[in-house]
This record gives sequence, C-alpha cells and structure tokens, in this order.
Amino acid sequence: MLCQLCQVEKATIKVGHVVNDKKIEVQLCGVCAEERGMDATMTGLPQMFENFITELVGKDLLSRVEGDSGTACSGCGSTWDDFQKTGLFGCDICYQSFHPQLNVVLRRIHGSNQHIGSRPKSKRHQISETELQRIRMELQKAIDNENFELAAELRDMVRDACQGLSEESDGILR
Amino acid sequence: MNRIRPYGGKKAPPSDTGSVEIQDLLWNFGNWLTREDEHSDTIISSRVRLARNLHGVPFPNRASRDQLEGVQGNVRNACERSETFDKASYFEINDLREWDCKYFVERRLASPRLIDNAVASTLIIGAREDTSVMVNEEDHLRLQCIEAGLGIQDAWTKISKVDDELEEHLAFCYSKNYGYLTACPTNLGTGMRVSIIVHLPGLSAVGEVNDVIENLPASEIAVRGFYGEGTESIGNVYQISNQLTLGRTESNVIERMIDTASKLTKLERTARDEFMSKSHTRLEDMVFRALAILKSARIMTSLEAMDLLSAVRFGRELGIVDNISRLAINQLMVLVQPAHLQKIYDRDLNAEDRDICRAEFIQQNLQAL
Ligand SMILES: [Zn+2]
Ligand SMILES: [Zn+2]
Repeated sequence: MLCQLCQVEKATIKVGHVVNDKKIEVQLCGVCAEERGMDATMTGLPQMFENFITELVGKDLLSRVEGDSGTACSGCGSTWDDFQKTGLFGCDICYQSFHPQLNVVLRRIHGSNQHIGSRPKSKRHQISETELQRIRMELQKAIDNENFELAAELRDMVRDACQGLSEESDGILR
Repeated sequence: MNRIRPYGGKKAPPSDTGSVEIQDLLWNFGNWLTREDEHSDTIISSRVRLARNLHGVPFPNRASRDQLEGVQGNVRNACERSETFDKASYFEINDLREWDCKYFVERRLASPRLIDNAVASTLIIGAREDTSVMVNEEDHLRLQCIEAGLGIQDAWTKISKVDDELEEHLAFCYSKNYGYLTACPTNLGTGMRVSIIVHLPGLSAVGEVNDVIENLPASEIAVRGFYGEGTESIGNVYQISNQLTLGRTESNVIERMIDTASKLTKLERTARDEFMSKSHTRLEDMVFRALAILKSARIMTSLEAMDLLSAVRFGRELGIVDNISRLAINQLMVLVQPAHLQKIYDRDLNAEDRDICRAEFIQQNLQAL
C-alpha cells in the first residue's frame, strides 16, 4: 500500500477513524507522517488529523453533488467547482450563493440544514430562565427522539422567546 | 538536571523576546497537565473548540494578505480588551522558528494548518495555557479550551465566556438558519468540536479494544487511533470527538460526549481489573519490561517511548509501580516529543541525536523507579 498523501512511498503508519459503524483508515509513509507531526506522540497526533480526515470524508460527500459550476459567488468569486476541490467556502456570502446545492450537502453531512445551537450574545434576549429552560428540555427530548418536526417548532419558540420581534430577515446575512 | 518540574517550579527569567516566553512555557504546564479529576485514570484531557469568522471579510482561504492582517489586528485588539486574555502571550507564526511552531503543535496549542498559513497567522495563549486562540487558521478564529480529565463542562463554560467577551468587539458571521458560518461546512452551526483523549491499555490487554471503539460510541461520535505495526493504537491512546455541528445544540453534544466517555471509562476499568486478577504475572512482566527498557535504552524513538510509557502508566494505575505520579507520566509523554526535546536540550538535534537525548531524558526522570 502506498502512502495516501504522497502516493510515492510505502505506507508504514495508519490512522483509523471510526464513525457510525464506518471505519476509515488513512495510510501514510514515514516521511509524510513526520511532516504532519506524526512522530509527535500522544498529544499532537489525534488533533492534527482532525482536518485531514474531515477533508477526506467531506470530499467524498461533495463529489456526488452536482452544481452549476459556472456560477460564482458575488462575495468572493468562488465557484461550486472550487468548493468541490477544496471542501472550503470562500466567504460568508457563499452560503447564500450556493444555497440550493448546499441544502443537499448539509443534509448529507449533518442530517440537518437548520441551526438550533446557541447564538451570538448580541442576538440573545432576556426572558424568564425557567421558561426557556423548560422549552429547551423539550427541544432536547425531541432531538433525542429524532422528532425533527417538533424540534423545529420548539426551536422557533426558543428563538422567538430569545429574540422578541425578529430583527433578522430570512436572508443568510444581517 | 532536566527533571520534570511541577508548575511554578523553574521559571526562565522574564524577557521581552518571544523565545524566552516559549522556553518559559516549557516547564509551566497548563491545567490539563497539572490537574486531575475522578476520570483521570482513563481520560487524559478534554478539549472544546469553537470556529468563528469575522463578518465582511473573506475566509482565510480567499482573503488577501491585507485582509488577513486586518483580522489579526482586530482579533488582537479584542483579546487585549477581554478579561480572559488580559495576560495573554501573542505569537506571530511568521516570526517563529520552525521548531517553535512544532513545539506549539505538540503542546496542542496550534494546528499544522495554522503553521502552514504563516502569511498572517497568530497564536494567542491565555495564562495557564488552558484557553487559546488561533487566528487565520481554516477560519478567522479557532477558540479552544483544554482541561484535565473529563472537564468538558468546564472547558465549555470557559470557552463560551471567551466567545462572549470577544463578541463585544468583533462581529461574527452568523445566520439564523445556518448558525455560525465556517469555511468548511462540516463545522457549520455551532462550530463546536469536542474531543477527549482516552488511555485504554486494559481493553487492549484483554483484546477488546477494537470491538469497543467500533461499537460503543453513540452515533455521531468518532473514535480515532494511530497505528504503527500493531492492531492497537500506539500508546493505547485514542481520541473521541463529535462529528456533527448542525441541527444539534451544544449541550446535547456535550451530554453525548460525557455519556460515551463515562461508558468507556467503566469498560476500561472493568478490563483493567479483569486483566489484573486473571493475568497478574503477565501484567507485571509487561510493566517491568517496559520500565527496564525505558531505564536502560540508549536510543529511543518517540513511538517506542509512547508505547513503553503507556505500559508504565497502566502499571501505575494498577499499583504495580507506585513511586511515580500519573501527572509525571502524562508530562513525560508530552516532553519526549521531538520539538519539546529540541527545546529542553536547546541545541539543534538531528533525528538520531533526538532519539539519544530522548533515551537519556527518560532515564533521568525514571531514576527513582
Ligand atoms: Zn508519503
Ligand atoms: Zn463567497
């Protein structure tokens, strides 16, 4: 087996990654391992492979999503092709520019296309903590039971409670 | 000379130059290497990381040098005005020597990507090394907090405080639907990645480790190991982390991680007891052989050191060796990494020199055993 990074040397070290019953292994040669800091033992090792493996997994997911390769982001000029090559968006507006394809990608990666986590402090609003906590617990339960419809509803309740009247449009950016 | 010193021990003289600050950090271990909790027999450390980007500036992969420098300035400004980073150290990656960069990576304060992006990237390290910020990594900001043992909750509390403090002075990219916007959509939403480093020599000794790591973790949680020749991860060290960031709340992810880690701890403890009672002599043999090599070898690679130190740690947890602390072993595992040795010996070492220095350094630190 050849090193998956340089494709030249023989692989001598492998990194195993298990998620949802799927096992992914990355095989590396000594030189690439050293270059990536793989001869750094306990502490360096796992962390430095976070990006690398996420990239591999991401690329696999992306390669199967067709996009209009000609359209460029009005913010940074990135195209869908660029995104497929690097797995990275170029700016926040990309999330608007590639909105249609993105929903497919996000569902594949996260099984969801809706944020329900915390929001910036400036967008939070004081309401009764106990009330908010109660809704959050219900929300949590709904997520645990994979009742996403209810979760979405509760999430909106939390959001409205936090926000009072929404100052945000439905757009991606402020 | 060169013995592991407790925090607050040897301090380098204060100076304005970056490199002495770096030397100073060498012996002044942060929380994750100086504290313990009730999970520390199995769980070495917990880290929570948040990805954030500044509104109106392209992400680092598309930004111009000027824009990146602007981000550096703005973030530094915000950090200097925050409570957490009141006494922080600021390192421009560009100004650092190669070994200093590697040293920060080994210390888990920087990622290789931050080093690669050296055009305009900064590493900001808070007092006691527990909180840090990488500027212009894959995202404009990567905030992280590392705590000892299963300190996820503490790490989360601290890093959300940092998040709030910085937001007083910075506008983060955030959308109602997608949450925090990140360069890679795998981080979108909360931008939060929780990872825990676990030591599983017991499960490995009873031959169950692969089975356990492939089947135990809740869905959406990944386990990673690092393999050389063998089928078990080198040093029996594994990393578990959450995979998903969108459509989950932070507290949900943290709960799942704590739950999985607790289950792993329980299984590992059972396996240790089982191995101890069924194969006591084999356990002793393994631990004392490891010690003998560590104490008499003259050349040692970091991977070999890791495996042997793992066996000593295992022996210590089961009372086979008792005059070395768990923390000293953890610290030793960090200090024998290549860039750390380079800093300890403070001269240019080639790979073989390093292996010789490593053997010598370990010996000095294990003399008492
Ligand atoms: Zn290679
Ligand atoms: Zn864009």
